[in-house]
Amino acid sequence: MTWFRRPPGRLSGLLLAAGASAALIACDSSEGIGTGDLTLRVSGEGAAKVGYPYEKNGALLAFGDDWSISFDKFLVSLGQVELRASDGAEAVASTDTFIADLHRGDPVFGRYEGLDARRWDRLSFRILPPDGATINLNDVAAEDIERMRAGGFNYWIEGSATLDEMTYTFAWGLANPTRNSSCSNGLDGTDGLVVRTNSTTEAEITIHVDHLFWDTLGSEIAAMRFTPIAAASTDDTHVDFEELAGQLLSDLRDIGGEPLQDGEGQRIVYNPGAVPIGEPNLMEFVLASAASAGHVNGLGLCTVSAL
Amino acid sequence: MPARSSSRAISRRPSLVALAAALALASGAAGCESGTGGRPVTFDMRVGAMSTGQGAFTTSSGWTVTLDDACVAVGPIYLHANPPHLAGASRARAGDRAGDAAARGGSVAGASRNLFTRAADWLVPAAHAHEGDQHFAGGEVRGEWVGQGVLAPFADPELHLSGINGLAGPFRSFTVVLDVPAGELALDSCLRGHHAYVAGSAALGDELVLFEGGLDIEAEGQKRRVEGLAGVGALDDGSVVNVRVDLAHWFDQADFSTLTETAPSGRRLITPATQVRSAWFIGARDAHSFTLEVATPAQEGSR
Repeated sequence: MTWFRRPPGRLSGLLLAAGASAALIACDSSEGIGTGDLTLRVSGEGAAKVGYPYEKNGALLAFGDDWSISFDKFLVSLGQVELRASDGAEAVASTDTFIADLHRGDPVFGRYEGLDARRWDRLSFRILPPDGATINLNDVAAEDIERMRAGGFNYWIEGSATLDEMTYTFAWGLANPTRNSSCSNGLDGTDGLVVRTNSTTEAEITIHVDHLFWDTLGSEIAAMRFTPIAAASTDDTHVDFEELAGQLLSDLRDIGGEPLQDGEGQRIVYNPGAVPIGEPNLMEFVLASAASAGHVNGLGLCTVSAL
Repeated sequence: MPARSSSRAISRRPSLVALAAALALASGAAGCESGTGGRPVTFDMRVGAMSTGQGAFTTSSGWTVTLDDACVAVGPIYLHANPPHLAGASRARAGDRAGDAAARGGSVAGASRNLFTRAADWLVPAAHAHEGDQHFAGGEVRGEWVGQGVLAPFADPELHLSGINGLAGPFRSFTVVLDVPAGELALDSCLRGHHAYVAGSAALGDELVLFEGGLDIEAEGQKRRVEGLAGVGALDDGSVVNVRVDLAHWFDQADFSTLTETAPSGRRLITPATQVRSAWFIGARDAHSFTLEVATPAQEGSR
């Protein structure tokens, strides 16, 4: 875990104060008084722990094609948190990176003390492969970290999917590192985070597990499907990530090799919208979809750019 | 009105206090939303096919396609202040990827992007994140054509749209809406009631398929909005915004041999259940389906 304290220097303090005053005048924003602390944790919510179907806030989150999913590992490597304000002030500029197994829990990865109490409207973080200095948050196996480092993977996900008598397993490394910037706060929709006076603000980087299985890009409203993933396995019931490249978006197939159809016999077509993907296949679709899995406090969206 | 400066310039070294004050004012200004600033302008828009005579092309699936007729209902079209979302969050397309993979001696599922994409990452400013369910947030609309028209390049190369309202200054992305043709457009003889319609032939080896059919886009989610397309430019009075539809991209992944149903005309029919329709649905709405460039009045006049 990282403990960060930034004692303001005299000159920078003067400039910051001047900047804060100007911002106050120009924008009529309200500045806090004093300092507060910030704690950051990372979570894959209940889905990373119990899989799908999964009940969240009274709503059942389930696959559109009735598969059940469970995870054995849901590893994510992230860090390089920056917390700034649009007036130029800086609260956190960390180079630390962390790795966590979200199937095991929601570990805290950053504690920052003595931050100016105010709104910090420019929050950013990166999801990127681990390196030799990456901090292990909850006993991730050394061989898993090494596999991710060597493969350039920022996610490593293992699990299984079941429908009726069928069970498929998967163990995927995803290499789609991103910078997630200008994040909004999922709790109230405002930009960044507020550090309150004499208290600790708790915030969460929320990894949306469902992005892996979506049929639509560019929207948080999408159906989860596993049938085309299972059908991508060519010779057994283990789905390699690269096998997803065999499923063409323009001609998705079911497990029997027939065109993928919904319950009414209509052809199912995934919707990439105008999100740029590489080759028009399911592997690239999943990479693009998972690239936007990082959120803040649940539903807060970030501006995502590739690293 | 802009303040007029005198012809006399005064230059002196700023003091630390003045520098701090300037920084403070600048940072304060940066902290504010830009509002809806921007001088009102009117501009023209032309909507056409990617190039004239784009009747024949070869798809990635190897088919040589010759279009005899094509049309699509387009509009509204919005020009946004914010850049596209996920501008570089996925890999470059085939040629770039193959080169990158070869250079690295493998084909792992790693992120590899071409130089242009990387440059775009550096050049485009970060958009504000936002509330809501949609990832793209266009921010301020800098210009908008709120009408609808039929682009039928084999009958008329371009839609000419004049006197469109906008705000002077840059825009960084655009959105094209593909709504159901309404009003008199619903009776358009080319569209035949569809969002788009084509007739043509496709050849692969010894196989020749004459085809026709319409594309209908479901009213689900954002399927009828091609949002956050990459398109950078600046508007001023008299600017001409050229939007181009890439007809060659429509059937890039189509396998015409899978068409089995026959239309009254004797051509194979593109129906909702066909692979060709799936490919068309994706190709007509993806990141490469539309391009945009802006010409100044002077540039337009020199054509």
